[in-house]
Amino acid sequence: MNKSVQHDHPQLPTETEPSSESVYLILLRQLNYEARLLDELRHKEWLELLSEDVAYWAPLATRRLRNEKTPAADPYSGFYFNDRKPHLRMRATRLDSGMVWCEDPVNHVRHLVSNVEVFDTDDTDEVKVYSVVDLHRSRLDSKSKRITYGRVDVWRQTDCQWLLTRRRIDFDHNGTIDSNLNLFF
Amino acid sequence: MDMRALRPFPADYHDYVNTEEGWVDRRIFWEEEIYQQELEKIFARSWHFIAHDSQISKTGDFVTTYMGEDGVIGVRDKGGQVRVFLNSCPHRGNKVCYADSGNSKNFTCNYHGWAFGMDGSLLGIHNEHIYEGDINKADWGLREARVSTYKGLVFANFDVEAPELDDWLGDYRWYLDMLLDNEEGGIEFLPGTIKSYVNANWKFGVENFIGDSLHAMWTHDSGAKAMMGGEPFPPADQTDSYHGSANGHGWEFGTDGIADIAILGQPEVIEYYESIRPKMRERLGEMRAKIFGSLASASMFPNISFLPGLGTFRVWLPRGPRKMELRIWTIVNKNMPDRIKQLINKGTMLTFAPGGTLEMDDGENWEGNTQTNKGVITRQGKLHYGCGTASRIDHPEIPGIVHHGQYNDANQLAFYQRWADLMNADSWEDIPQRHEPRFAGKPTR
Repeated sequence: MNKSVQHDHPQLPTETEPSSESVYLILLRQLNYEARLLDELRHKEWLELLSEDVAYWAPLATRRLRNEKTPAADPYSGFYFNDRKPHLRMRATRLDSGMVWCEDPVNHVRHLVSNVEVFDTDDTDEVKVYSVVDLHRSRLDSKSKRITYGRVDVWRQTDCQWLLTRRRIDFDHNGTIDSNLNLFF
Repeated sequence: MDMRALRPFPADYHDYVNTEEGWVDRRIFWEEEIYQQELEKIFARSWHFIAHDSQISKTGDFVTTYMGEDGVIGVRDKGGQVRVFLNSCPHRGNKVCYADSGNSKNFTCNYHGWAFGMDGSLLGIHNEHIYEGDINKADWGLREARVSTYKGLVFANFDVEAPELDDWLGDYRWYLDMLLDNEEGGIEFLPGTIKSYVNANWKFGVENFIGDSLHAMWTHDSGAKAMMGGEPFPPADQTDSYHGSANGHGWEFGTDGIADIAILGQPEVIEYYESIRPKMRERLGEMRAKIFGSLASASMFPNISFLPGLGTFRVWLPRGPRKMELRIWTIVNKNMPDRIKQLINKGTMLTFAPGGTLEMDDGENWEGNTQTNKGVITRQGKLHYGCGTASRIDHPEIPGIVHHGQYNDANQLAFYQRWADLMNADSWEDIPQRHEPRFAGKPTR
């Protein structure tokens, strides 16, 4: 399989069985490290954790009735994010430009990462990782927001490190509850 | 203590909006009393966007939305007509539909199982035999609104006295045709509704799109540079750019045909529009073919906005005077190749969606504009809307109230003038016509 193919509709692999405990610990450490890089706005270092073919996307949530018979809308038709590395680099460059007025003074951000599960996949270099994030964000006076979301990641082992190669973000809100999504999830 | 005794609310809403001196009273962005009046005098009488035909194309397809704070269902009935009903059961008042959209033959209230058809009629009641003739079901259907469409956009209005949709739009149809009718086949909405909640007065979103091109160069500097490979917005061109306004609807625009499309960051989309430009000239004339795609933004009274060429379309639903719900869609021309539609979708999501590089700059500004008025001293002040007030012109081709130079407060003031006209009026006869219509009773294409 050519891992560098760019998909408009990124796919997640099927999990086979729970990973070894050693891989689990490595990934847990990796997720915590990643969260700290994001909280400390170390965007360049964060980008280095992403593979060149990374896909990072957040589909829209729609309230549908359980017995709705018509097919759900294509989740990639409307989305919050459907980014590849150049887009993520562009966002990071913009955030670091000093010209994003609503990030100046900076927001206080904490990614609380929890409910981590790691599974092997058919690709021996890749694991599928579930996690839940409780994101706290505050700026200016007492204004603070908590956004929760689930993530499904694929992390790939390379010669020297583990790289994030897929991330689907499922927000637990039917609409965006903050005035912007000016950050990485 | 009655604060009104200290500072009375003017009875004439034109006292909140001074088009001569160019200022607006801050209280219209904060006060609950004024907001309640807006719901009665503006939202209960205006034509509201419900859906585009393409979103509810089959029998039983429905969406739920709001007209002011009144929840409604828009559904395509068996005869192919869109019907719009209050989303509230006439028994105890609960919503009869909690989904955003879907396909259904009927809508059943969760509380007592009253079921309503696609025509709004009360079809049946759970354990109906208990009523033993206590109800005439024909009298207890869902309340229905008037429905009218313009080139695929479906609007509804609960006011039986309100003018027809074509008259409500008036000369603005000349502008709207650039969005809806620039190519054979018209437009369609792509699936997916993006919602976001902003703690701002609804009018700040509308007035931003109706005329505030000035903010783009400062607020969106980082976003524009991100999308255009480090290039800032082009220099402000006041020589061949305009504000156009009709019946409170407005469109500010340049004439280079390309600047808004370029913000999508998709060169193939620019090429596509250039390839259809000759036909666009035949359809809409030289002037409108030059305007479409330029640096531009537009709003329809009271709360619809879009960026022609960039493909974002949205409504600002009021949620009290200090909060709004924003709903966003991507629009494309129906006859575009799928690839172009996808690229436009990508471009709009990357720019004017809650995760977009330009949209993200706006929300906090509008929250700040609104929330500072919590201060009683702050709220006593006026806001300056005097930019370009002396630039009014008559243009041989551009209809409505036209001002020269797109960096201007003219459309914003015209919007607030229309706002005051409706707020004051007890009947439609009281609402003045603010310009000489060129297309009354006539098609604009």
